[in-house]
Amino acid sequence: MKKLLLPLLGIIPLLSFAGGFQVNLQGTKQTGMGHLGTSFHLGASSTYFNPAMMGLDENKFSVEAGVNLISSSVQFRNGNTGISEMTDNPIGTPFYLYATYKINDKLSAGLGVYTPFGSTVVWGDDWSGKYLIQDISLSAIFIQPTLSYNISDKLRVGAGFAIVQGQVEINRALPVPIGNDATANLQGSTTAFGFNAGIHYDVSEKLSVGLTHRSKVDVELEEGDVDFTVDAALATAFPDGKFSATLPLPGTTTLGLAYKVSDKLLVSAEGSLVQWSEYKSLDFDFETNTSSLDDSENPRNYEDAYIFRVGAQYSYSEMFDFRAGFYYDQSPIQDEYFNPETPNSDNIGITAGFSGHFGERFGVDASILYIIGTERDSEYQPAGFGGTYASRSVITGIGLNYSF
Amino acid sequence: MKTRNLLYILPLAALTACEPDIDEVEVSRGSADFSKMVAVGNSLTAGYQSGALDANGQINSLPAMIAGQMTQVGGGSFNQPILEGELGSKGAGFSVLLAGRGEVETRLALKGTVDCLGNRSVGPVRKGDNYAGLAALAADVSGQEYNNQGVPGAKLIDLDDPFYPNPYFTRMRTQGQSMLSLATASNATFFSLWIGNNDVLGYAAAGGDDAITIPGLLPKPELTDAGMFKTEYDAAVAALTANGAKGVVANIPDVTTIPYFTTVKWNALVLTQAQADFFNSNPLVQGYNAALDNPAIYGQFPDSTEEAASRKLIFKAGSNGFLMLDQDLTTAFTDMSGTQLPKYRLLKSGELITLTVPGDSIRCFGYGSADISDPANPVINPMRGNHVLDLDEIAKINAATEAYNNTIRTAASANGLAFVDANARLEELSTRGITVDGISFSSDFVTGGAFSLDGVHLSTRGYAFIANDFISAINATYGSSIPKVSVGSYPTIEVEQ
Repeated sequence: MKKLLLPLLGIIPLLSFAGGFQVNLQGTKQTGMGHLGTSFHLGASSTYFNPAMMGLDENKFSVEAGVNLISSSVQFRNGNTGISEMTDNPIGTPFYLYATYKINDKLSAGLGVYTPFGSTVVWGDDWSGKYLIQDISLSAIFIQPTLSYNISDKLRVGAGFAIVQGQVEINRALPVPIGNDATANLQGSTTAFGFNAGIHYDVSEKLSVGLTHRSKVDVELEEGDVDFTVDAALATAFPDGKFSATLPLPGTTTLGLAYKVSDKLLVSAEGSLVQWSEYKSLDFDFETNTSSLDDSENPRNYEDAYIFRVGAQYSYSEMFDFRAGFYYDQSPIQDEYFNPETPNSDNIGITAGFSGHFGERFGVDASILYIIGTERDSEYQPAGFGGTYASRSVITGIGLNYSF
Repeated sequence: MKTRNLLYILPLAALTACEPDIDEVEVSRGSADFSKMVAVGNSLTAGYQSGALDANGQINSLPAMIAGQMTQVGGGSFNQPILEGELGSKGAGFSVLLAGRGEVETRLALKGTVDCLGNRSVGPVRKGDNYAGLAALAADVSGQEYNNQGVPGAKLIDLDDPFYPNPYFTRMRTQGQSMLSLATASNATFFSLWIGNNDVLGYAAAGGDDAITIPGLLPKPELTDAGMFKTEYDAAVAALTANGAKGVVANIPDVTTIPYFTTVKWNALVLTQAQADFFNSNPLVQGYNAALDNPAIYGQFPDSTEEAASRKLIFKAGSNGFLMLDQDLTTAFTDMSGTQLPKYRLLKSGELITLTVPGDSIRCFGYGSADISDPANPVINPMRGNHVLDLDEIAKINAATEAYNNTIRTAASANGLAFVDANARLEELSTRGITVDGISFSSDFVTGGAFSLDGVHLSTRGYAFIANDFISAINATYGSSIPKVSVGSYPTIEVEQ
């Protein structure tokens, strides 16, 4: 086990996208069935999906780890010039690691490490939107110690405290009137805090319901570094130095239902409300302002968005489970504030997955997710830049689980 | 076994993600035929910027940008009388004063400069010395047919002149051809016409009625008469459309919003309280003010007390209007001995100073106030009228521009031509600014990004966003869908060493 875990932790989380810059890939089993998991237990990953369910684990100790490979591309067709451009995003590799431990019949403890937000979009240094964004890489690693408590045989609650390690790096060309190839590089990292709480109730033998809320996390960069590359004549006008900025990671409330059609077939549906309206503006407050360098205010004006998911799991045999799912992930971005920095249209996700169990203790999970970022004609009006955007992603996930 | 295979296959599947495929934008020529375009106009058409025409400016000229986009909807090639050699690289700026020596000016470049106070900054200076390039500029290259027939300096009233003595025009015409007959000889299917700017700019840039004149060389600049403008403009449009050609015309921007007139402010004479006190207590200033105040001695024209008040030289801490010598003032303020009072007054709000005003003279020699390099013996050093547009001159300019623009708009709609409201666009630039592709443009000199270093002509990016306005107008009028240019893909001004 140790041998497997260490390489996984060593992978730097460069992520791709869901709505906004949310990344919903927190469990390979759940991803395989539409990323559902609020209302039924599938192992230690309940630490993330609904902490109330940790106590439902049959084992004293369970651990799950996994990694995804994200291959994504976004196409842009400039509304003015008609020219098409495509991102050259690197393969993203978000990961997760969960462990749960049953302290007694009522109380369980767990720890989760996961990456629910992130984005890597690389448009290139010289594309038509270079003055808005050349490339952006942002990620947030959540470390979440968690407790759950079984109030009764049917009702259980759980909550975790999340320590969030956020980092961001942005490169954009500077539209200065003198000299070409001027750029600004902004990067920073910080620690922030949040929580993840859930409640789970068995309505009947067959039907269960789960409700979770993952809190908003304000990633406040106090000491970011800004590095300007400008003509020598402008060097004093654009001094390198510090900046501060706040990036809100929105809260998410999810209600899920799961129904056991038979011993072999489980179906589930969920709805999430992602409170993106917190994301009003991305403002960079430069420590040193000059007559040429004001603080940079970039309105975002996101709106709350819904995600609807359906999925099913079929237990083919003692050894194999098969899964499939579908979801619709609404874009939080208004048409006049659609920025190529986070080019997210409404996403449709189609998923499939399976698990193999080897003996009592060890299992392997795999999933594949195909995301269609629907075509949309939008503009970032503050910059006078727009056109048609569309995206596609293929995400494959591998997970391992072990329990005793 | 199966599981192990999948461990290898799944990551490979991820590497070959399907890519999105947005349909191409449909393009169409609409009801127009762009197969042969000819561009008629002045420096703005020729590709002039930063005080000269050079090869880069020509390659990125406004009609070349438009024609480049037209090739996607059946547009033909766009041939230009490109300047070669020294002319192409250094630039050829034409000035009547240099022409007598057979020379031309190099273009303006951004370079480090040191002013008379020792302050270092980066500013526009000529790239190099004047050089003997006039003969090459006027060299006959008329063996080819040119699509870009823009001639720097051309006024509307020059269009039908068969002996138009412009060295650049001499390049492309055959003997006895006017600009208009050269254009109609092309038998083009489409034309652009942006003309008339110099009919007002020539007057304005020279400082209006107070321009320096040299008999036989520099005549007094005149605003073209509005009635003559209408006659000539309608004739030009009639000639260009005689073969059924379609076209695009643009009106004339209000020249008083361009950096050439807005960079040096009327009240940029900034004084400390001590300096203001020093000026106010100066015997010359006190004597002048006292004379204006004393109708007993100077009051031959008692109805001019209003003028007397407006001429008072009163300085205060902070911003002050520059002191100017205004030839329009009454000469009648004469004392009993017959000595005329000098025609001094301070500049008023709304008056404009040309970019050609000598900065070092203002900074170190009291130009526009008083030269106090010898504090014991200050000398009033008024700004001359050729550096100032006063309110009367500005009113004349505005009236002429409005009349010309009425003519242009009327001619466009009467002939079904595409119309570019360049005046409205540059007004937007000078008030709210224009943001496109993440670049914010304004009318500020150098830092605004839209104008070149001469403060009159657009920069390459400025030409690019005006090119898109031309394309929009053409598309709107003829139902075509010519794609626009990518403004951000054009270069900005480099700082030269």
